[in-house]
Amino acid sequence: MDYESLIFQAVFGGFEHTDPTPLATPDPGNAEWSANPFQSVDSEEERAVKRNIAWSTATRFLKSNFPGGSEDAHASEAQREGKGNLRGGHGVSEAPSGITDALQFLLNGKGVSQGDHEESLMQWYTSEMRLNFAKVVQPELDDFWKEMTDIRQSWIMLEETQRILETARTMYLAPFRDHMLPLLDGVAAATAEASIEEHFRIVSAHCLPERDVFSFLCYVFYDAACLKFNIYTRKGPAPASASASESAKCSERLLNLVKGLERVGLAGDRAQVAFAHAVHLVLESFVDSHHMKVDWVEQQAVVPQLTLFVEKAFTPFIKQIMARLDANMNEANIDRTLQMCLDNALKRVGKRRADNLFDYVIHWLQSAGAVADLKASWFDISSGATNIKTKASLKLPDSKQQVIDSFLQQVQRRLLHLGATTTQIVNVYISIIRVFKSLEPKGVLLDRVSRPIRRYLKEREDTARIVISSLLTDPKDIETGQVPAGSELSLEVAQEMAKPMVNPFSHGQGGELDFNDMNWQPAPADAPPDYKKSKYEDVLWYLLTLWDREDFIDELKNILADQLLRSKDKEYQREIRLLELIKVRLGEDKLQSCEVMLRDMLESRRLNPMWVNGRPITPPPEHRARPEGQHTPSPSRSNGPALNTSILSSFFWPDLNNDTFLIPNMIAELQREYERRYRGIKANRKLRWMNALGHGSITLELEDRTETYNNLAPWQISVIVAFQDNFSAPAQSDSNSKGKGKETNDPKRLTKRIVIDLADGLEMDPNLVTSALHFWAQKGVLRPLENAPNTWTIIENRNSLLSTPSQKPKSARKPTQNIQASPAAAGAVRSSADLLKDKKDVYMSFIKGMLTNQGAATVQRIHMMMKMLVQGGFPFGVEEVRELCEELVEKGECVKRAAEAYGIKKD
Amino acid sequence: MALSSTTRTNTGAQTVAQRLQKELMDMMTKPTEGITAFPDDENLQMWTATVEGPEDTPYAGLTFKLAMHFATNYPYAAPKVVFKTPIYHPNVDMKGRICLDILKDKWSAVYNIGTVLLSVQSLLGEPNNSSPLNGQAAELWDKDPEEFKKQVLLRHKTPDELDSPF
Repeated sequence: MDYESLIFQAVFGGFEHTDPTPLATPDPGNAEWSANPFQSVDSEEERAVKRNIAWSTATRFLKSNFPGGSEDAHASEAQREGKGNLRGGHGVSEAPSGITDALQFLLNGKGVSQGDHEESLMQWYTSEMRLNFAKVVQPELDDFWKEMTDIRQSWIMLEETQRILETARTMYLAPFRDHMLPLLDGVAAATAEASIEEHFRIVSAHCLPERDVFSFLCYVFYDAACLKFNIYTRKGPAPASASASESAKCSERLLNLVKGLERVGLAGDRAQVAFAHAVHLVLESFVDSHHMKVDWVEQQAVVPQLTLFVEKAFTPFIKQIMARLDANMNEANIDRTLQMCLDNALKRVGKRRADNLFDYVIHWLQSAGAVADLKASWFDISSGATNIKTKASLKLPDSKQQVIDSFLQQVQRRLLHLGATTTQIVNVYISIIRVFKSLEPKGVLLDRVSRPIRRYLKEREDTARIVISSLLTDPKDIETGQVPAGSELSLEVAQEMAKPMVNPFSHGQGGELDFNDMNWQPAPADAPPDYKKSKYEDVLWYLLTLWDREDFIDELKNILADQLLRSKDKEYQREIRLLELIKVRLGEDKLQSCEVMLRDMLESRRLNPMWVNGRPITPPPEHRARPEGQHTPSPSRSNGPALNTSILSSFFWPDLNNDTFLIPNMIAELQREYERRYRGIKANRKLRWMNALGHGSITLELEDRTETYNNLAPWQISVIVAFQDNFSAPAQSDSNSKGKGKETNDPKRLTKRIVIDLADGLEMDPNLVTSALHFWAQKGVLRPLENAPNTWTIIENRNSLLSTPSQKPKSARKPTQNIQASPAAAGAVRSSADLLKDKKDVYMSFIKGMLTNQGAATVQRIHMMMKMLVQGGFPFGVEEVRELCEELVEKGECVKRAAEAYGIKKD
Repeated sequence: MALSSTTRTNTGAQTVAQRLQKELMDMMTKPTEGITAFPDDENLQMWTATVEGPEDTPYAGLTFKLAMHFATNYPYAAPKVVFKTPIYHPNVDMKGRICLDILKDKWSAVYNIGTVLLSVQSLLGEPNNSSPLNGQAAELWDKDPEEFKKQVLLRHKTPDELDSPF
């Protein structure tokens, strides 16, 4: 045969040889052959003739032994219907001796093919097998595969296919084994058999749709592994937790199948690929399964379990199967592949944890296991002596970067929006600090992750207030709900504050230049250029460094002032501690005024008893102006009111709220006395009383009852005392009536007060007066007269009210809301609205000056100029500027020009 | 050298700005009747001032705008002050330049914007006719107050007229 026809034959199958020699040739069973005509072959021609005859005889015989190869086509069809020809084995037909002779002649004798042009019997056999396979087996398989395409029937599919092929294989091998094998000698026999088997494998391997076989194989491996290792995911069927025997049976089944498939040639390289694919899937499923669920209870990492599983259970299983799949299995190769699979599984664990990192942050501490998983998926897992060396496959920087990116996305979407309160954000930030600290103690990740949050927190106006006031609060108070209503406090911050402080200077102060630091480590490789390692980074450090020092200290001053004035702790322990803490972190130099404030309070407390002899003591004073009157119209024992004073150094304290009003005479006298003594000690200091900042107690003696009220605001006391005094002349004090008693001597005459009168008489803001009146009404001391608007009177006798029951609830209930409407009066530090009111004149003349000299301008421009030019800053927005402008327009000093522009009014 | 001089200029500008801001604040908190001044923009070196003509002078009822420029060594150097509103005055030339001793050799660092403008305002009522920039005006001031007043009104423009492009 020439080369071309060889190729042709390889593709389309041979044709010359396909049919046995025509029927016209002599019947092999003929007697004339029986005399062993092959015995002596002399000439070439004679040989050719003989060979032809032998060929014809042998091929015809062999062909008839193939499935469906019986004498005529009809018979074969009839046989095929029941598939009997494949399933039921042929009985081995004893070959007639003539045929044996012919075979012998062709295989061993002179009939062996000579040169390329003669086809050998083996070649014919394999080709014939191939053709026969296509004719007989292939259609059957095709039918079968057409019916079954459901992946869940993979087991049956493969097993059935395997059986069909197995039968076919037996049948194809049978004639060879029966008739030809005995004629061949050892080596040739083995080669020939191997070659036939090989051919069969090739044929069968190509007879099925490749993709389907692949996925079925995959499925079978996967299914068996899942059953064996009890892996199930939510997607899969219910966890029919397989018993040990079942799983053993299953692996047995799989092994058998694999063995069978290997025999029929379905277990080649493709099966190995399918198997590798299945291994990957199994590991993924394992990661997704309940085995790798976050450990919320023990809070341990589950990654070691994964490693353990791969090492102790999975690897032996794999090797067992691989041994069946591939006889030349190389263990080192498998180990390497498995290592890659494990790395992938670890990656998957890491990714799954990273995807939910935000939730873990929120549930931090319970979620420690999850975070540990993430960490473990990053770093080496030391699981003892093991042949699987776990490389930190995820140590690549980009895996961290992915975590950061995905986490930041989550943060952006779920945290940094207007819906989240600052307290929440602060709490989450604290959790983030803790989580990322545990994830990576060096803080590089934390640094990157927290940047947007820090930026955002800085933008929020109330952050500093919340953080600092939380620092000053006892965590127990928050837990038990003993905090002022409406105040936003972060329990996390408070708890953090309550932790013992680590002295940052306990180990070497030198920082980077400390050559004695044996634990020194360089900055991590992935650290940004501005990475700074601080030795004492705790949660508070991160919070306190949110702001520039100056901004922070300003805010701190305001809040500290408020706290000091309110604090019930006369030793100011928390405040002192906070101050010390902050000093350590921010440096002492900037906190001078805070220290002075603290010292003011402590010193006042110390000095007070020295000057207010023989009287009950409360808080304290110091030097330099602006004292804050904390007057206590003393209840109890002594028959006169008592006064305690705190002296605040005006220079160091922030702007304090100073609603002005007259205080009861008896207190005012005490103040004058105090002032006199004070001047005696500190000659050139001036006292300015800040009546609004104090608090006091009062005892009311009414007709039917005597009640003591503590912790009242001074304006509340002033108002109630006004119901006793002849308040229209507050200067003319009745010092003998002391802090007690109402008009007990004239109970019949009702004391009535009109709001306006009170406001005038006390020089108090009418709103404040109303608020105080409502306060007392709520306490059941005052009630409004219904026939006279804005007029109030004392409830001298509660019983008298009972006759008109409808009245009391009304008067007592309604004011409740109004009371809270005056928080400005309660807070010690000025609100911005107060500030605006105070400086309104300056601002207005600013605006006038600008408009006069620069011509008309828009509100925005005015606002911008004010922001830049007003000394000390202009803390207000465009809205306030507009209000000011409108007010100027009302006053007739300005006119509104275009939409938003204002100009000065011309005469 | 270059470095140090730059530094000095910077800090100099800083203190000038602070000083000017403070002066602005002072003027706003304690406004003087008939006198206002305000920076042109945020860099504070150029200001516009408005001065009303004093009563009982030919300038009564008129409003004058002035431009002030502060050097970086203010207050150690006098500000440059010129009238933006055309004015007929013995000590002011046709371009609005003012001949006033405290703006020249008599300047002292204790003066401020308010005092300068007050001086300018009083100069309107009491010109220094011994060293006039506008000889005709100096002559008329003494000889013919009626004519003087007429010249003043002739030359004067209201701020609106000044701003208008025509």
